[in-house]
Amino acid sequence: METTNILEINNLNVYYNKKHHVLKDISFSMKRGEILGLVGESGCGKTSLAKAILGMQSNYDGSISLDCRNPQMVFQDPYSSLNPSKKIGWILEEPLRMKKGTEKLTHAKRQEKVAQMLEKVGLDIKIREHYPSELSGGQRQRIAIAAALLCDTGFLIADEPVSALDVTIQAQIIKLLLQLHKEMGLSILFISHDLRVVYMMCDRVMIMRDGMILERGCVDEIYKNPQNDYTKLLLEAANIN
Amino acid sequence: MDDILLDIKNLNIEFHDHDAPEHVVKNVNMVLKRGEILGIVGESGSGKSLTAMAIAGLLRRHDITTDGRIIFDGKELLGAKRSELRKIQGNDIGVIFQEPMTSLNPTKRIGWQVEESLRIHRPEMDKAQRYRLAVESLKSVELDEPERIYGKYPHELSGGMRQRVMIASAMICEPKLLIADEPTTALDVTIQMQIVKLLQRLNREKKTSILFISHDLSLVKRLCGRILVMHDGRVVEEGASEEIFTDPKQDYTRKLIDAIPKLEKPEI
Amino acid sequence: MQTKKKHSLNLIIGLIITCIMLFLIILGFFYTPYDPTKMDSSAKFAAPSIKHLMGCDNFGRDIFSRVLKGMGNTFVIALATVVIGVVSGVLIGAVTGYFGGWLDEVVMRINDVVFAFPSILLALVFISLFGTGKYNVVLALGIAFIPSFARIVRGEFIKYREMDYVKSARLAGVSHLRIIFVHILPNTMTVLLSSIMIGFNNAVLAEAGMSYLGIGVQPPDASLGSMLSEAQGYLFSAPGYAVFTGLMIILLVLGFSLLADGLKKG
Repeated sequence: METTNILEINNLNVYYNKKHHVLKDISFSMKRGEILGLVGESGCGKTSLAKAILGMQSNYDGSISLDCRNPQMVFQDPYSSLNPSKKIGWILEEPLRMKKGTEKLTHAKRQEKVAQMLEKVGLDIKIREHYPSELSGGQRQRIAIAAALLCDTGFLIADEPVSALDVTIQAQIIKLLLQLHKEMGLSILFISHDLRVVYMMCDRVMIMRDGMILERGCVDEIYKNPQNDYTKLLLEAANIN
Repeated sequence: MDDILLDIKNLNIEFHDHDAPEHVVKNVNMVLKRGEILGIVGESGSGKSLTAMAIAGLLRRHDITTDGRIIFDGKELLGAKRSELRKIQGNDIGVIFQEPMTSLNPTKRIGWQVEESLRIHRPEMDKAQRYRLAVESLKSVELDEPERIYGKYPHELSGGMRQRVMIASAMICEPKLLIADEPTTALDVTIQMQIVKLLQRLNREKKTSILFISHDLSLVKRLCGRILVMHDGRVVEEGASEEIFTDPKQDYTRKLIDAIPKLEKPEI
Repeated sequence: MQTKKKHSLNLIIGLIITCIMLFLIILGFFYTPYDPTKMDSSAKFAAPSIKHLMGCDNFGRDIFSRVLKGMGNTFVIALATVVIGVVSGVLIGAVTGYFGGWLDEVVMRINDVVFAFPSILLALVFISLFGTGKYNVVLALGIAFIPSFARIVRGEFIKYREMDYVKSARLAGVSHLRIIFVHILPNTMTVLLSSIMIGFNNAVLAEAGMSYLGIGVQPPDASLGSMLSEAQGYLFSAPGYAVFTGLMIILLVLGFSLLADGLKKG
């Protein structure tokens, strides 16, 4: 049970309008309950990979098998990831409203679940009455995480979830994600350009550039003994070594 | 002339576009010496960018009241006439912004934009002279084939190249002060490093003083000799970079330093 | 905690003017000092007085009563026009903007063609096909107004469909229809509302223009446009007629313009 893979990708290739080859022969797997780091700079294909895993990318070849329903994503920009015209309570209830048939929840039940989840992500219940514009970036990111978890998912793609936040807030969100990972056995594909943050979050990491995975392995191993020149450059930029 | 380029005394900035006035910069004092790189560190809302905008004379004049003194190169900037200010902007003070996507005009060629401050501050120059200087300036920010870049449009360049172009156009009149407001935040880490190195070189070779504003403490430490920490509109700590890192006096500074991700797993 | 943003002066002035005009219009539906179509030969060209607030016209009809009635007509026509334009425009803009693709291409090209004609000219073409009259004016102007609203809404939808919260909603299993109407449409309201105001003004002016040309509201029924057209003949003998009617058009349009402007700045 513990050793089964939640995600397996074999020879994935993604093209945009025939000319741009954005993902080149990507293969990797992720264990259930693992946090896997994906490091790369803009344009390296991280976002295309995330889209492909979530089924938002139609033209690819290769195989993607995700053994989990309702995969979710947390985005980088906390300002665009919440509907500006809806109250937090409404936003959090929305995924619960989508449950059909036997799973359908009453209003009271939905409220209860939202309250539980707010507690879990460390927010006061009163926040339900606020609009996103009244919240700080860190609070918004907590809400985005809560909304994703309310979809009953076991797999989360976190696309640079802390890069847009102030440093002191970054640390809090990282802690929260690690906590949820531990409590709920959540599998997380953690995308970031910040090698220090990746070190805090992940056991295994993949370094990506130009649509290819250049280097992969255990974080300690790679940080101590990088093989690829690009990895070395990234480590230097992050002031590691 | 003494060696102080910029002297800010008791700067206060207040916003009036809401029902209650918002006091966003409170009694800020700072001194920037000639040839120095000073870092201002703070989180969003700390008032660091507003302070910089006040120095550059870029604050709106309605809805905002400013109070205090900004003495740049012996001249009082706060409350100076618009025409006075305009002589200084772009000529003695250059500014680069965070967002290289929006800080260049998308419909004009790179060369035209780099030359813009020459057209204003060096009206005696002819076209050929301007071209020569612009190409030289593009070359000095380490752009390959400056002649080719000169004729390109912003969207044809990458983020890092655009930020270099911004620096080239801010530096073309060889200003005494370059204000860099989070110039690397929107860039990839490896590009950030290149830009920081470039700023260091320009400071060394052209003796330009740099006011470097960032939320990234480790980056500021790399570039700046002296650091000013801002929080909630106030300067909470000031000192040499090394000193601030090894022996922070204020809790807030300590919190900022602690927040730099360490190479260790946090305990949950 | 952030305090409330100051209201702009425009919003307040616009609100006051619009409220007064709306009051007069509603008043006109239920009560006019005189029957607006009743002629009184003894009062021909009567100057403004306590008895006739704005004086009388060439048939001795009370201008104030006619202005009240005429404003009502103009208002209803403009309103109906805007409703047709907005409802169809929003539907077209939302669907094309959200889904994009070939449907978007085709519909927007048709839209461009319609948009290329001035709306009054377009309405004139419709009138010449359907015939004159109140309802045809509404229909003609309404159709002519669709493209501008469709364009605005489409632009907003293109902006919002790329936002992360829409992607999150998709991942949470929200249907396209619900995303369009519940997740995106309410967010376009600020932009839409101010363009509705501007559209309303254009409709008032267009109606006035068409009635002025004699193809809108037919006599003895009054509208601000038809009255202005009548008043033209008596510009010197009864200047009050044209002045008061014109003033009402100006106030109506000004009120909504200021309101739209104030809303935009919000």
